[in-house]
Parts: sequence; C-alpha cells; structure tokens
Amino acid sequence: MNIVVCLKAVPTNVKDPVPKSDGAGILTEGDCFMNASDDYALEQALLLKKDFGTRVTAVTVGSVRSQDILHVSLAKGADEAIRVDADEFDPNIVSFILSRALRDLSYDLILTGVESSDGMSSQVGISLGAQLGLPYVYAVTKMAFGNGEDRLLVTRELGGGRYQTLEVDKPALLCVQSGIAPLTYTPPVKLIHARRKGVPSRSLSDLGITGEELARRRKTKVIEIKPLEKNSSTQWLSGNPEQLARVIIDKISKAL
Amino acid sequence: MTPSREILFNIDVSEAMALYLLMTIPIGLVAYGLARRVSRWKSGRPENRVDQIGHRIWNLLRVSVFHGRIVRRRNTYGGFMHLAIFSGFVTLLIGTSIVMIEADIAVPVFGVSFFHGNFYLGFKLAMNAAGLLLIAGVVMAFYRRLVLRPATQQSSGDDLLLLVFLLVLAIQGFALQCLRLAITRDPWAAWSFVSYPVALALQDVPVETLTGLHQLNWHAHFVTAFLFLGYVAYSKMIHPFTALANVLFRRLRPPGELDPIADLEQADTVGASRLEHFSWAQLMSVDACMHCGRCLEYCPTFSTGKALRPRDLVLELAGLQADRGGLFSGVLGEEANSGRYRWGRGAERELIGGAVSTEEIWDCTTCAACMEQCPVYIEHVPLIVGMRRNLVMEQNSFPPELAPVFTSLERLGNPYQNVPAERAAWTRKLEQPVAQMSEVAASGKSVEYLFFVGCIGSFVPRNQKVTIALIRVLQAAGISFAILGKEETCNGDPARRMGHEYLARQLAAKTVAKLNFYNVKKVVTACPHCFNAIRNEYPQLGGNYEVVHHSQLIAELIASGRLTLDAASSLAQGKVTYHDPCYLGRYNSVYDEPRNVLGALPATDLTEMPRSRNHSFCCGGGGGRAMMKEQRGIRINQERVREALNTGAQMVAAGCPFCMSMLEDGIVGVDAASKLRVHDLAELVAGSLQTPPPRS
Repeated sequence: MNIVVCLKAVPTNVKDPVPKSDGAGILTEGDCFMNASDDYALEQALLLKKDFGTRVTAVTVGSVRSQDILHVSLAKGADEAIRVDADEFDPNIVSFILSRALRDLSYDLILTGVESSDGMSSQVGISLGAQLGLPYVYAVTKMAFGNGEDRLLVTRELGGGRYQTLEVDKPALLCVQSGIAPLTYTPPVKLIHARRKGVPSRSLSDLGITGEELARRRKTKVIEIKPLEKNSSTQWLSGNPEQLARVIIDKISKAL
Repeated sequence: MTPSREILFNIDVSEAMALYLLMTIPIGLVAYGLARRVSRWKSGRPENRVDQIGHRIWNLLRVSVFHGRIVRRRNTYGGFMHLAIFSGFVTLLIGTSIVMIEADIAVPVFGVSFFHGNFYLGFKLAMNAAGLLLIAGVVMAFYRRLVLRPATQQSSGDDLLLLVFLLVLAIQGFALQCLRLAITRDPWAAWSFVSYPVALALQDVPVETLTGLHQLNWHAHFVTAFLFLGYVAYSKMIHPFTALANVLFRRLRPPGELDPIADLEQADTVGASRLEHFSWAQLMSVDACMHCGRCLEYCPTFSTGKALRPRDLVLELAGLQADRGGLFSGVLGEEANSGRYRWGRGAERELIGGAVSTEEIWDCTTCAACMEQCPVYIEHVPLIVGMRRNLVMEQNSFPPELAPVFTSLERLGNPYQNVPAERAAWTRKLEQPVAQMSEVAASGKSVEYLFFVGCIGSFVPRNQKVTIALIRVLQAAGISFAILGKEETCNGDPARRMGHEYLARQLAAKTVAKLNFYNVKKVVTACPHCFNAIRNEYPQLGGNYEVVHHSQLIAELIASGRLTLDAASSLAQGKVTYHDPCYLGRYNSVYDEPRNVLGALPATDLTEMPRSRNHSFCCGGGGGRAMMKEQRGIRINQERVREALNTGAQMVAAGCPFCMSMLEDGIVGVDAASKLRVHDLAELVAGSLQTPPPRS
C-alpha cells in the first residue's frame, strides 16, 4: 500500500510579511518549517507505515526554501520525497500542481493537513481530492483499516463536540486534524544524513504545466497583510486572596 | 667506628637473590595489567593532550606529588591522610631502593660504599619517620572508613585489604629493625627512634629466638611485598600510574568549553554509545578513579537522592572497560565493590542502558562540582554530554518535555515557544530607549558593548526586570551599548548541554555570524550560560570577543567611580547571601566581582553559605535541567534554598537568570516566600543608584 502526504513549508520566523507586487503570494524571509497541521498528516502516515509497512511519499510544492521539510520527512521515515519547484500561494494553483504531480504516483491514500498557518484557506486538500476525483474527508481524527481492505473507517470532527464516523472507499484523500497522533522529534542524525543527500525536484514543465494553465486558475490576490491589533485591556487586581476571588467571581458572573 | 650495618643481616644471600628474582613475577603482572589498560585506551578516539608539556609536568608535580589538589581546605582530613601514606610509602620505597643500590650495584659493580656514617644515621632517622607516617596515615584511613564513614565513601573489601597490606608491610618493617637491633645490640640504635624502645625491651629474649623470629619475619615481609605488588595492577593501587597519567594528560582547555564533534555532518555515529566513542584520554581518565568520593561532596544529584553519582558513573565505565579487557583486567572485588568491577564478566553489556542508565545521564546539571573536586582531573560532564549526544541525536531518546524545547529552539530561536518578533518587547518598559545594533550599524556609528540579553532575560517577565535594571545601570554609568533586539537568538548553550550538538552549532553559528557582521568586540551579558558559551565556545566557530559578565562590568564601574551607590535603597537592605552560579564560578572563576558589587552596596551585609565559591551548590537548573522535570529525590533548588535560609539572610543575590528562577521556585516550594527573596545583582545596584536616570 502507498500513502502520499502533501506538505507545505511555512515561514514561522517572519518579521513583516508583505504581499508580492502581483498579489500572487507573500514575500517572506527567514527559514521555513513544516506547517504544523501537515506535521500531523506526516506523523499519521508514518504510524501507518509502522503498522502496515506502507510506503510513504512526501510531496510539496514550493521553492528551494521548502526542501528542508522534505529532509525532515525523510529523516522521520518517509521513503521518498518530491518537491515541485514552484513558488505558488493560491490554493487553486497549488492543488492543481499537486494533482499533476500525483498523476505519476500510485497511492491508496492521500493525507494532508487541514490548514496552513500562512494561508489558512483550508482549500488545498479538498480541492486536490476533487481534482483527482477522490472521496475526501476533512478534519479526520481517527482512521482504521486492515491491510488490503478496500474500505477505510474514518472518524472526523464535527462542530459542537461531535464526531462522525464514515466508511470511505480507497483510494481516498483525508485532511488530517491536528493532534491525531503525538508528534515525534526528528532524529537529528537522520536529518543530517537527509540534508546531505538532498531531495530531487521537478519543474512545472516536467509535469507538463504551462504558464497559461496556471494563469487561468489564479483566482485570488493578496492585497494587504496587517499585524493583529491588540485591543484587549488588562486590569490589575489587588487585595487579599479572598477579595481577589470575590472580584473575579463577580466579573465572571457579569460576563455570563 | 663508622656507623653502618650489615645488609641482609641474618639472611642467606643466595636465597635472598633467588627470592628477588621471584619478584619479577608481580612486577611482570603490573606491567601486563598496565599494558592491557593502555591497549584499551588506545581504542578511543584521537585527542591532542600532549601540548604544553612543560606546563603539564609542572602541574603534575604541583597537584599530585606535592598534593596541591589532594590537600585542600575543604578536604584536610583526607588530604593529610593521603599525604602521610604517600610520603611514608614513597620514602620507604626510596629507602629500600637505596639499600638495594648499595648492595647490588654500588659495592659489587663500582666498589663504592655510601651506606655508612652520617648518611646511614640520617637514613635510619628518615626511615623511622616514614614508617611512622605511613602507619599514622593508614590508621587515619581505617578510622575514616570504619568510624567516621562519610556518606561519600563506600568501603569495600578491596579498600580495606589495601590498608591491611600497607599496615602489615609497615609493621613488618619495624619488627625487622627491632629484632636486628636487639640481636646486634646496634650502638646507633637510638637513631631508629621508633624501633629503639622496642629493641631495648627485647634484649632479654634469648638471641636464638630473636634470630629465628627475624628470619621468619623477613620471609613474611617478602611474601607480603610479593602479594602486594602483584595486587597493585588489579586494585585501585594502580592509581599511582593511572592517576598520574591522567593528571599529566589532563585537558587544559577551559572547563566551560565542550569539545565540538569534529565530523558532525559526515559522521555515521555521534556521541558515545560505546566506550570506543570516547577519546583515548577520556578512557584513560576513568581508570584514574580511586573512588575517593570527593566528586560526590558537592554534587547536587548525589545530595538529593538522584540516580546519578558521578563516582559510580566513572567506575561503571572503568568496570565496563575492564570487562572488555578480559581476565585479569578487572579488580579483585565483590559484586557491590562500589565500582561494581567484575572479572571478565559482562563484556556484552551496553554502555548506555547497561553500564550507565539513561536516568543517570539526564540527572546531571553539568554544574562541574565533581570536576572541580576531583583530585586527578577526571572530567565527568563531557563524559555525560557525550552520552547525551548519542541519545539525542542518534537514538532520538530524551525526556519527552525536551521535544518542544528543541523544536522551539529550531524554529523560534528560543526555548520558550515565544514569537521571535516579541523578543525585544520588554524595551517598551524602558524609561530611556536602548539602541539596537541594526540602527547603530545603519547610522554608521559604533558602540563599545553588545548587551546580549539572552532568551530568559528577554521573554520571562521576572527576568525582564533584571534586564531592565541592568540597562538602567549601564545607562547611569554612561556605557555605550546596544542590543540585537529581534535579531537575537539563543546562543545554543541549552541545546549543547542537552546533547543536541547539531542544533547548538546552528544556533551558535547564527549568533557568531550576526556578531561578526556587526563587528562586535565586547559583549556584556547577565546570563552566565550566554557568557560561558560566547566566551569559551564561540572561538570554535570563529567568534572571538571580549566577554564580560555584568557583575564584572558593574564591579569595575563601581571601582572606577562611574557608579555611585546610595544607602537609601529600599531593595538592597539587610543580610544578603550570594549564590555562585556554576557557569560563572566554577566554569569561569568569577567569584570576587559579584561579591565586590555586593560589598559596595551600603546597606547590605554579605553572609556566605557553607557551600560557596568553587564549592557552590548548584541550583539544579544547569545543563538544560531547568527545562526538564525533576522526578527523583529531594528538589535540588529547595535544598539550596534551605541552605540560604540557614544563613539568616533575607535575600539571595543571584548572578544568573536560571539560578534566579530555580531559587524563586525553590522558595515557593519550601514555603519561605516571607523570609527570603531573590534579586539579581543588577537589580540591587539599580535600586541603589544615587541619581536615577531622568524619567521620560
């Protein structure tokens, strides 16, 4: 069985991000790291590998700055890693490129995270499932299947603290909810080895994608990025513990 | 008549010669035992320990032969005990050799005799004194092992057997002399001041009896010496060889500098998971241990009931090494022989998990109290960090609470999961703004000091107060300085001490690049961990700066009159005790400046804790321990807080943000918040500034 995990590198240590002049993305500096949500997708894939001996392939679409997340994937235990060399931000375009990249791969399961910390559109996974014509499930918190079975038993999160269990045909695309499995630390020596070895990249033309195809799919534009405005006010309370407790209870009951 | 005596009196010379030949057997055994050990050491990794040879030899004489590191103010009993045994034994050994030279070389080969006259009389005097010293030392040792029984010492049969050997040898020596003096009515007997009274008492015993006893005793003495010599190679009595070798080839680099992993990017294995992964000198060092237990005296883990006991860790390594050497490699001793030596057993044991447990490895606070105490310069911390390196980087095995710390260091450049953009947020609380390096560089100006704030001083509210206080002090003294602000990242020390050399090197390289980019010459920091790393370890990465701890700079500013302190401080009042941070004191020998600063505070009265200066007791937070759970035994910080409370001080002065937070935590833990406060030196000085900077 084969699993493909789609990952995204996000800048975490950003000073002041600005939109690109054409609005096709965000200009950032600094190191990129694994998007937190995708980390869980990878972790889940590697758990399945451990249990069923699945083959895990990690895929990302991004510039050379993204490649380190693939080193991390390999160090953690992925069997193969592919980077499509394209600096794209629009979820329509990223999912389109992914769908092309996955055309050459065999898979029984595609795992993605639920959202990226820099884009937060939560679209790529769903859109990819649609473009590949696969069943897709969003916010998966549990999955169970026996090796060789054609169906998966998948639990997903609903609002209001409820969960839904679905039976899904393979192959399928699952957007994995954060926290599905505890994250493991990347073994440093394996990371060093993976970084030394490097990962292959494929260009858009390798995938037969033309600029026109991309332009046609570019539907969104980033106009402005602003820091969060903090407008909360802090009140310092004083008094002995009993008085403090009274004040706090009073405030809470008013707020309720 | 010239004073002298017949050598080999009452002994058949040819028999004696035959017996002397027999002595080649135990001497051969010693040589064999040493050769086995040397071959084991050679399996270690290369390391240069043969530089500065003159300095090495002088140090060898000073600290070992002259007892510079054995007799210490805090170790007088054991020190003088060793001095007595050592000087007695060595003098007797030299005396025996002199007699041998006279009898077997000088007279038969060169026809020269010197064993007579005043030399002979002085010889008698010296040998009697030496015998007495030896016996006195051995008695002291027995008394300590059997009566005093310090907690840091574990007595095995091996330890006692050795003392018995020495005592028997000395008594036999005296007995021989007493009998000979009684038989020959030696006219110079009084020079043998110990034997003489006994000889007088024996004069009424028939000569035949005395002669018989003398012969018997001579043979018994020979047998004892024979056995003792054979035993040397297989007991801690090998230490004259191994310990001297270790002192001679000791590490001469600063104690606060950990050696880098030379081929980290290429290595297939990192750190130490097998003995061979240590350097030859490290393998030699574990064989130098003779279980004196001094490493335990100020050890925070030993004192609080943790798994780690540095002595046992070293002895376990020595035992493992002996196992690998096969038969005749270990030490004659029982199972629980403190070092748990075995005879050719357990060769299949693993280093980590077998000889040393992971609990032991993670317990260490890297405070170096063991290294400071060890009379023969065994370096425990690098051994432990070596094993941590393997655990973290190769086996991905470490206390689970460290994973978020590592991840945070990687991604955010601080261990606390704080956003890097917020690193300089504390500057908003400043009365007078502080320059940032980027602005300084952009304006084409330069500053004298870079103030390296550090993560804890940047992000943790309590420690931000210290940072702000120090800024006030520096501003009041008119120091030209700037901070890196958002550009600052962790210096790498916690990762390094936790064994994540790869991460540590990345962080350090980043900081070196930044500092070199701004052409920084002088660095001041309020964190001894930043201080130690930048001062001692950054040269490894091409970062060479003059680094001062804020206590040093403040002491200098006070001494030169650039800071004037006022008695009307509300903060710096009353009895204060100073807690020596390990990374400032033991690692960098900064003991006086913080005390000078405290001494300059008009309204405070400095009182010392029993464990201070190089004998300071760790707060429990070093080596990344501040970020790990302390699950076993008494809390180290509470132990230290109790010690501070016992001085009657109302305040502990700290010079380290980690010590500060550990101690404050400890104070809460022992419910002493009303009795004891912790303040950094900078806070005390800032609170006592005569003219506070103008408020904006």
